[in-house]
Amino acid sequence: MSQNLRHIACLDDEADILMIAQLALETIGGYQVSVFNCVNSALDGLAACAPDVLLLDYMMPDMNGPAVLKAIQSDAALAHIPVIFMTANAFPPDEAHFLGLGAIGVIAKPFDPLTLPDEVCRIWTDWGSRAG
Amino acid sequence: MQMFKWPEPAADTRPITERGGFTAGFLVTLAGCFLATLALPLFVVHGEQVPQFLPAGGFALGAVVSFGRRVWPAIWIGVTLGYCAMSGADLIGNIGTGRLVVGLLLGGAFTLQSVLAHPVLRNFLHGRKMLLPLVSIGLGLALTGLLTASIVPMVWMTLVAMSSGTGFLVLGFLNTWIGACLAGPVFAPLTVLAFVGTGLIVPQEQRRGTFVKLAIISVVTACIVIAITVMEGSISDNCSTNSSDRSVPCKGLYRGLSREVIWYFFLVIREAGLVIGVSMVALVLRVASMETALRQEIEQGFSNIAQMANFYASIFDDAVDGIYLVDYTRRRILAANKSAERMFGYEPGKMEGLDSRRVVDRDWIDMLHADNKSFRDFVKEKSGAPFDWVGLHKDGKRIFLEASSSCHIQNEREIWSVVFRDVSQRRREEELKRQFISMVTHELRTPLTSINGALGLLLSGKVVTIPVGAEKLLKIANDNSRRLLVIVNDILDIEKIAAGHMKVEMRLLDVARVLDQACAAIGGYAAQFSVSVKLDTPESIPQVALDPTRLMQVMDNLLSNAIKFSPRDGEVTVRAFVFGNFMRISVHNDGAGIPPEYQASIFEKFSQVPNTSPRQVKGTGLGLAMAKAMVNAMGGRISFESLPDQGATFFVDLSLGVS
Repeated sequence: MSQNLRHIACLDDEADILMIAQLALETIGGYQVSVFNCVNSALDGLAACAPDVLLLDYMMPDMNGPAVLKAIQSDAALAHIPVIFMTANAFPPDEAHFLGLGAIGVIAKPFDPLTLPDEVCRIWTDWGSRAG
Repeated sequence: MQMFKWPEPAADTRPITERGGFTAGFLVTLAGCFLATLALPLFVVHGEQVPQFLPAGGFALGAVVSFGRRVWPAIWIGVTLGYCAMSGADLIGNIGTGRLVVGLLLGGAFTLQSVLAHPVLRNFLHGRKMLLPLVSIGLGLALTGLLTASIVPMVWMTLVAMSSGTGFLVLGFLNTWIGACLAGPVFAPLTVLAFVGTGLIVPQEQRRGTFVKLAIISVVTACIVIAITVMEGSISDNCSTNSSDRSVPCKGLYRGLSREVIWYFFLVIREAGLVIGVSMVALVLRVASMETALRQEIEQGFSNIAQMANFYASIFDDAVDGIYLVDYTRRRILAANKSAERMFGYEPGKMEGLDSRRVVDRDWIDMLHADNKSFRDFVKEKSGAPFDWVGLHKDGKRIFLEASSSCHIQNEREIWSVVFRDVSQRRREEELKRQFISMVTHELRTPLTSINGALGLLLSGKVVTIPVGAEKLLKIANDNSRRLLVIVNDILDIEKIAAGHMKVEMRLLDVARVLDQACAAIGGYAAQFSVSVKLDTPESIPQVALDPTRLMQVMDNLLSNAIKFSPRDGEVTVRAFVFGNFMRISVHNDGAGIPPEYQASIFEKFSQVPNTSPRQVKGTGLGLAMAKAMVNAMGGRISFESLPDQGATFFVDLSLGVS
């Protein structure tokens, strides 16, 4: 992954959080951001927008994060998209658990909108250097 | 439920064998009687009458020896008085009548003695010591009178009538025979036999043996005395009947002996026989009454033991907590109470003999085994201290139990008692509470994420330009929303700690570096309060095992507290130095100090010291509780020192791992 992080997709059922994340990533980070507030629209639209990374809410009412991740991984068109979980779980499992699921990292909610772009970039870059 | 009664103390708790001076008195009396009878030849003034006072003296001596020992002296006094009286009567009356009465009296007195040994009378007389002599003498005399009035005249009159035609010799023989033979060794046992028959002295089951013994004694003694008396009668045939004429030598069998010598010889034998006979009767009765008393005491003892056993069994059985006794060597449950059977779902008595592993959850046991421990090791290790374990219901359900155990050695076997209560309900409630808090905080954190994010973005000025005058209000909203978030996070952290979910990842690190980061991180906060943070660490410092994330949290708590409670332009000093086996980190401020009334509870949840500074910064009251939990989780300890107006110093000691 030699190129820079440019395009970030977010999937969260909370429209407000989605908007904050979008604002932070766009205005502070200067990234291109695509947002999805339901799983189906994400699965339909992700292939078209081809993001560099997907921020995925861990807990959603219709389909939870790990299930969505599985769906993405099993879809040949989407399998290449790296996923970062975002979780507000009061008792989150270890980071190793998320990595085991196939995510490249995890960001705890509530996140600081001012540092969110940097954090996403750091995880993505780390993953990139790990992947070689 | 029947109320348990503690056993009443017995009137006299000593065993009966230790109670009276009977044996000593008896032996002395016996010795006295023998000495007296052996001394008979020395007293020849009035034939055989005077020496009868000597056995009386012996009895008196027995009374003295046994005096002060409750029942027995009174009897001996009674016997002595009676014997004296009868001996006196003997002096003036017919020798045979006197002897008869003496025998009856002795028999009666010994009977009385046995009667007095009977618990009914003994308990009545217990505490009425003044009555003892009166009762025994009265009873003795009444008995003697009764017997004398009924038996003696009848027998005597019959004999007189029978002997009217046979002459004085026959009468004399019978007279002596009745006196020596019947009165002493025969009548006394017969009198006693009457009492034995009533069951008053000797219990039913001992009656036969006592009868036999008494009968044998009577027959043997009677035979001896009859033989002696027959031989005595022959003296009359072979020696001069005139007792004053001592010069006339005897004939036949007694040839060459003086009449006195022969007479006294038989006299000695006869008296001795009488005393022995009576004494033997007394002895037999004494043993019988002792047996009775012992039997009663044993029965009473067994009854007390049974009562106590029932009492303890009812404590065991009716306890609300489950209790079972287990022999871990044989892995068998020895006994279980009702609560235990109910908790584990077994029918009454069905837990006895059960394999002790059947009541312990397999997964839980496997967890112990993973630590190379058996349940037995676990219980032994916890001996005395309460512990939690997971039990297994008969139908396979897991039961959460809170228990304690103790070891009892019985017959060189280790028996463990385990006392436990079902805390499944409490566990469920705690789990529900945890889930509830988790849910609530999650629900709070989601909107807080939006609010904080929105306010943060607004205040960053990168999204929109903030209108003049709005910035102050936005800042207030932002600060309070962040504070709310801190509270929610603190509550979550505390819950994590309470649920044992907090994990620490220990690494060997340079404390100075972590402290440097912590001080840097708090810099902005300190600036708000115009407080400076000074870090003072030595040049070289040993590495310590710690969890940097947790230590940062701890330092954040301690530093923010120290800053909050510092005076304006004050200084907070952070030091790190080796302190014994610990690396000590100290955080000192120059505030007002912690008021003494708050010192004891400073590390408890929701404990807050009121901030007297005008800045009025409030916390959640959870910071120090969390700091303590985290330091403890790292195997360290936290403490503080504070004097009024001299500030406060908090210490975090992390083990250097050197012992």
